[in-house]
Amino acid sequence: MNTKVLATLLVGLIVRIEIASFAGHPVDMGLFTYSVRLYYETGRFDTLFPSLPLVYYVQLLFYSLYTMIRDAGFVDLVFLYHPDYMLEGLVLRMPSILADLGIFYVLLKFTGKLRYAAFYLLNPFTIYLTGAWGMYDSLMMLPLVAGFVLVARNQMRFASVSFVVSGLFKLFGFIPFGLLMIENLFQKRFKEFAIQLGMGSGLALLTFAPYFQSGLQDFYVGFVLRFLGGSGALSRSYNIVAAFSGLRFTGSSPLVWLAGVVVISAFVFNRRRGSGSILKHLLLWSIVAAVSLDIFSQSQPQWLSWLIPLSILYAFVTKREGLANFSYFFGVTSTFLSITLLQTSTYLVTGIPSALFSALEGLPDSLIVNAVTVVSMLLMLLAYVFLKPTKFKIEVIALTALIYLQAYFWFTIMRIVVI
Amino acid sequence: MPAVFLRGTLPQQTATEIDGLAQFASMQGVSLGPVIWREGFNNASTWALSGSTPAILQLNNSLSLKIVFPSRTTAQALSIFHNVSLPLDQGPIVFLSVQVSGGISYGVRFWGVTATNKPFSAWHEGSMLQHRPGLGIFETVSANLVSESSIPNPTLSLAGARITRMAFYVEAVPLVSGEFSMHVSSLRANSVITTKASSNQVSGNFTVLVADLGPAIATQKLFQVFVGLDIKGSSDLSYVPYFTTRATVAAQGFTYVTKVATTYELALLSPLQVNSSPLFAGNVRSSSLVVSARTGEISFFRLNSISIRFFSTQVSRGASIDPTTSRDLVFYFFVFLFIIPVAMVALVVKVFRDEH
Repeated sequence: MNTKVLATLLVGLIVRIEIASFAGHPVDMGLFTYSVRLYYETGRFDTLFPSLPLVYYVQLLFYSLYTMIRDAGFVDLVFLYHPDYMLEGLVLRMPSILADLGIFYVLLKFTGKLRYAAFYLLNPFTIYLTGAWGMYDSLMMLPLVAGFVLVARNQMRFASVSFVVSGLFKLFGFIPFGLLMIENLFQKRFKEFAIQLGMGSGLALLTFAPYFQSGLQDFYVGFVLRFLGGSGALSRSYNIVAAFSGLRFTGSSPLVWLAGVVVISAFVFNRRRGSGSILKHLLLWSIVAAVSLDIFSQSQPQWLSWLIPLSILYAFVTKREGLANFSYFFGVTSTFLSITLLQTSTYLVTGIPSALFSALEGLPDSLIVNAVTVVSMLLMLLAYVFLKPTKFKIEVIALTALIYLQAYFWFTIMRIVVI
Repeated sequence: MPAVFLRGTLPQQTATEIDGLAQFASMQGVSLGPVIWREGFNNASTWALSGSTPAILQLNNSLSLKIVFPSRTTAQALSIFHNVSLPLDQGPIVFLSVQVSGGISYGVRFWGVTATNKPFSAWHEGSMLQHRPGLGIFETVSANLVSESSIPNPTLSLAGARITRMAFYVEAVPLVSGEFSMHVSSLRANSVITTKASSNQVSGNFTVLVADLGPAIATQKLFQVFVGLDIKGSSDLSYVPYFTTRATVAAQGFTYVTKVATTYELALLSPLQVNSSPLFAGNVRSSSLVVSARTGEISFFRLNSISIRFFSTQVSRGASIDPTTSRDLVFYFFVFLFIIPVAMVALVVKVFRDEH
């Protein structure tokens, strides 16, 4: 392996392992730790695991290694106020860290550019999510990125499988899968459509099978409705609509359905015009769908990471160097915003929130400042996607800083919005 | 990975789950009954001020109290007492509409006597009725006198017992001074109507459902409670589920609304979400599931499942950290999160120009 590639890979791996050894989101890591311990301590399979089942299976598989280590007499330690042990937390994050390395490899092989692969692996946001937080978005993104590469190689059936696997980690993977199905319908490839549908349904049923034992009602309400935005719980959202209105949605804002119709219609319209490759259109409208979900749905901060590999792929396919560079800046800024405005700098490190830098964190109406800055960056990203290719300029950083400071001034100091 | 099949091999017992329905005792639907007492605020002699702080009390179909707290290095307080007679076997709920200036706190306390005229206090520290911050706007405060009496007196017999005295108080922390006020525009008590059921379902028109889950469960290590329930009600129904032990809230859920797709809900309750208390918090000797309507009325309720989860977590021995250590740790974290990756990317982009 090339020395530069190896150096990049090692830096990406070492920073993740170092951070994962002590940091973690106390609530999310507590949930994951509880479910795997329930299985390995009592033998009970947790059908109320807080995420999609494939995540649980992967965590159980990796956790078996930890069980063996503990059974051999290893005494693990707790770091400060975290709910999990240090090695235990690292083991739970190993699948996501390996997925990050996998995405690095796929991007490197596909683009042939180390800088593009490094923009993903060394992006502070992906390091923050897998290494520090303990989120598993990269498990979804690895098959997603692989799916697009398979589309580029015209291996549509394998690409479909890859998208379904991606969707079974986080439902976003079903968006390019759905667009591929629509493409098959419009091209009148009904056999391919049926194969896709059968494959998708079969894989989904297989994954969910152990969950049926807890009764169909729990499965329907706990999974189908919750993940499709139809939950009965009025829970917190980080998107701009919720931030400004103070509304607590039972799932998504109704505007997300409008955005869905726009994405599908635009995809169909573009395909009927017949311009460009299917890969380019799939990437383009998957990016627009991700942006729409971030703006209108019950989005979580980690969802922003989906745009990083998608933008890098689209930048390569359409020769938009500026977009790839912007995706790195997008990740750096998203990390800063998430730490200072949504969590506080000590939360993932010590396990308890505390505003060390009082000018930047623990601010009133910080959700609005976050939402405004994030939306401005999403719009800039769309500009890089839709407008003619341009270089990434320092002015973009200045503009983002200006928007952040304006939002900070009006919403945190002047408090012009009272919710 | 053969170990994935070796269930129950971890040498510890930290994650456990119990079936909350295993000792299910009964269920009752509760709704408000008629008004049994209303204060007219027209007889000043029935209200007695207590405290050395200068204050003016006026009654004119409402109660108005103006207080001047001088600047002192100790906390200051002023109370107004009033005699009432509210039989506890009617389960009275007291409602008051009150406005208190910002900057000070206030509260409501009750006292009573048993059937044998033995006095008891019907208030406790930690209750939502105590040390409430003044908001400067009118608030509706409600008090379940049975709960307020039973929590500090778990063996109290309600038969023949009654609440005989109540008090409003205002208080200021040290160095708070100036003119403040308290206005009480209405004060009344309603009886309650309960519909009991020995099965896990109940129909009628209720504002609160209380399911008695049997003897009180220790909640120190409580992690989550999952409740599977069927619920129907008015079109504007929204409700909050609570898990209580000894009439104290141990876990709370989100606010839920009914769905078009199904009447079934799988509600998640967590100790981290506790920020309110229901009007009916269950029996002082039991653990209970309480479903309290925030808006609208509940017409049908069935309790399908309750999974109560406990999780023991340890805190590191050196867990006490000062701000300097926190700051050092955060800087260390930032080195790995920002500085090393950004420096490496700069190296890749600017120095490693030859692509793969």
